[in-house]
Amino acid sequence: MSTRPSRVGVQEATQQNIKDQYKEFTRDLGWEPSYVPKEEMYPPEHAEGVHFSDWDKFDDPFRLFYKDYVKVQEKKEESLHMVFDHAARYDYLTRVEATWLEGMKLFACGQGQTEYETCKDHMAIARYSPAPALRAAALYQSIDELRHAQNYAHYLRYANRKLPGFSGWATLFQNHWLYQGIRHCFEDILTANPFEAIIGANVVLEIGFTNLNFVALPAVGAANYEYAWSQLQLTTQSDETRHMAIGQSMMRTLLEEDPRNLPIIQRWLDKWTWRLYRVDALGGSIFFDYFAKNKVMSYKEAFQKYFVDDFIGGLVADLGPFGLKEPAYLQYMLDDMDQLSHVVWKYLYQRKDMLWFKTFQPDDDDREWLTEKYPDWPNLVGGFWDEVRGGRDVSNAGLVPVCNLCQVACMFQDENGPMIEGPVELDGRTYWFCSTPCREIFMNEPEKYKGAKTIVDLVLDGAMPDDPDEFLKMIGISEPGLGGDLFAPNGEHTHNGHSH
Amino acid sequence: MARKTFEHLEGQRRRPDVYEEVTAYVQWGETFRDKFPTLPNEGANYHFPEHYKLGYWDPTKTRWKSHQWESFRDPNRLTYRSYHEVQSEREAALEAVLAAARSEHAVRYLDPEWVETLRMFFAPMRFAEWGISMAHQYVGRFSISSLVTNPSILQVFDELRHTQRIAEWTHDLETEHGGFGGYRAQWLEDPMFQPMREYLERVCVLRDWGEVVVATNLVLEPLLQRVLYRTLSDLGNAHSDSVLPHFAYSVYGDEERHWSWAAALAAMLNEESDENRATTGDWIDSWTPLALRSVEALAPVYSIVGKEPVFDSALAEARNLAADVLESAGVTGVALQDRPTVVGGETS
Repeated sequence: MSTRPSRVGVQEATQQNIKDQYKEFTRDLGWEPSYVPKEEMYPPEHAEGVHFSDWDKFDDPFRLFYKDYVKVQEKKEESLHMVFDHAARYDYLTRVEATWLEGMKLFACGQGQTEYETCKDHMAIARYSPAPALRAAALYQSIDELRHAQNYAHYLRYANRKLPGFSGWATLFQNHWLYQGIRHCFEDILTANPFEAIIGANVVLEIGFTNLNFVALPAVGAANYEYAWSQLQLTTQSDETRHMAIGQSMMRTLLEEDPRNLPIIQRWLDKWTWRLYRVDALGGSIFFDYFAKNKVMSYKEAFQKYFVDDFIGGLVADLGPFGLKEPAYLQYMLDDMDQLSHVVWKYLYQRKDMLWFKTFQPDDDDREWLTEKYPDWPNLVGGFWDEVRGGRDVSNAGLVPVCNLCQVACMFQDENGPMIEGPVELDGRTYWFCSTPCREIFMNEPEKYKGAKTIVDLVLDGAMPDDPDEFLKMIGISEPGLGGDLFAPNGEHTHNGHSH
Repeated sequence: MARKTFEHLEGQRRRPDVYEEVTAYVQWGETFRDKFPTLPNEGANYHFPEHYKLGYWDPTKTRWKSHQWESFRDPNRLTYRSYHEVQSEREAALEAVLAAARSEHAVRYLDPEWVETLRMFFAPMRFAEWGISMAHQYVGRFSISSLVTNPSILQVFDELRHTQRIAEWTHDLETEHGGFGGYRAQWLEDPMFQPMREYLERVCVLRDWGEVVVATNLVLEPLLQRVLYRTLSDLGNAHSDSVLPHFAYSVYGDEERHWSWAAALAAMLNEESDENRATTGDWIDSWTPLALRSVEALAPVYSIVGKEPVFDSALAEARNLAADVLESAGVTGVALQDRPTVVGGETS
């Protein structure tokens, strides 16, 4: 029995130092089991490769308490849904730029699942991270990600009441070739160890790409009158600032602790900047450069500002003293910038009848802007769009080699022609890659990646339906007329029930 | 054309509500197989090898089998948004109770017998709550459908809530009365907590998420809630404790949700096949004896206040409650009914 403490002020007595209290709520919660082996309860392989002497030294910079969390989040939800409700009541979708709305079909049908994946992923970090502070931080993050996943579904609910193309997201995300790169990448994060997953999700995705997706892109969305979605992006971002701090403090803690962690972290940074770039930039660039009728900035400019200057610059300034260098594949990304969105847009237009959203030809205003932002645009794709304007059928449903890592079609060109790397022979199977980084990342962990089949592999195996309609149904295109060109040859919208 | 609901929810008799639209089919993979075409790339995922690090959600992660995972509906129909509406209100109510108690120095007026009782059980219970949270973190990660993941993850969060509130109020008790700081040693060594600790350690190393749901929500929680919080809430009222009954009430509301969703899930699966019913039954049979020992061992909590009659009736009521919960899941808890009444925490 301890001695009775002297009376202290109520405030002092009841309001512990927050830092101490938070420690009690995190590191103090675990215990050493005696009825089961410790390594079964806290499997040590989840610290794979990372060197650390005292996991308690980790700190969660946010020190959240449940009671504060639910109070704040409930208010955030209330204001978001007020925007949603007002938007729906006044039928705001009819006033969103028609071109942007097509982009929303692409964005919203896949975003929720990536948030949901991070929710599942962080539940495992909460359970298995060797550092107690990370467990607690990951738990809150997982709950946040559940919020985001459900709010994208809320957005889809509203849009689906009004417009086609927002209905088949569950099948599309599973089966459509355009989403396979995202699925592969996020399943890769999901099956990584907690530290690698935090580098991928919290550092590269949430610091590196978040400002592009959740700050810059909503500004573009708002310029195209998409206010509800822009609000959704911003409120999502308000949770992610917490996740960023977790990623930053984890990297710093590991680097400060032991110099042997540097090459491990550098390798994960190299890998995840490239993997997520491949997914995020391919998808994101066409929003800035094409879906936006009212353009705000080019993707090239946004990437330079938010990813290269802010993220990479900030990271190297902060952690460079520990030896961290800019990502090994950064130059490959910069080399892509002049062609990225244009090659992707052309590729999609050629396959517009296999999509659930409409694409369209750049009009004269677009061409002028694109040429100003990307002086090589006329040489790169100007001729192609002239042919489209001249009435030529440019559709191409043929098979294109798909990268065995990123699952993206090998659609890019350099001065030597189409870019493709390989073949690599492994256990009697031949693998091809869209780029050097994809090949190197694959070859670093062939055991992880070699089993996956691309959608082209499935077609060649005879595992996909031969019948074109059955094929479309399989990939989630359940009704005719979802894809195609947004504008009829006479320049009028072909959009269902939508006019400007 | 525009639709009334999403493609994957069409064909239901009733138009799907918000809960269904935002929680169903968010998780891709296996649950599509019987309703929609899935890419034939083995498991509808990129088939990273099973042994690779953390692994993937797939049908091997539980012995329960189903062709209708996406038909499951949490009877509470909670989403993130509605959960936060409910819980922020609950937390505000509890906060008001604590604020009033602090402003009136209520903790000072607790009688010594009651303080001694609280010392025995209150602070270490944070570990029990956290143990259930850890077990459900596994469920949240590996369960096969977003409809199961949703209530499980909200439960993970509920348990964190209980843990934090226990830790918080313990500080008030410790500051005023002392003797509340040895909770870790109590949890690790006091015979009263050892069966429960064993139970939770064993649950935390299960690799079948269905078994975790049954062992925690259907077997342990109803027994524990009834024996501990509910009964002590009554005794707390009798001893003028202005905090514990409110805390217990607030926790109890969460726990009722936990066993109701688990019972609804088990009922759906048991209805679907005899194999599932047998599996559920196996799990209940194998976990019930240790669950009973876990609550029987708590008898000393009643050695100062309440005494044997209160404990015995609490235990009998707990068994009835647990049996009712199992009945709502479509199974019987034989072990709950057949065991003779125990006295004073000694198993007979």
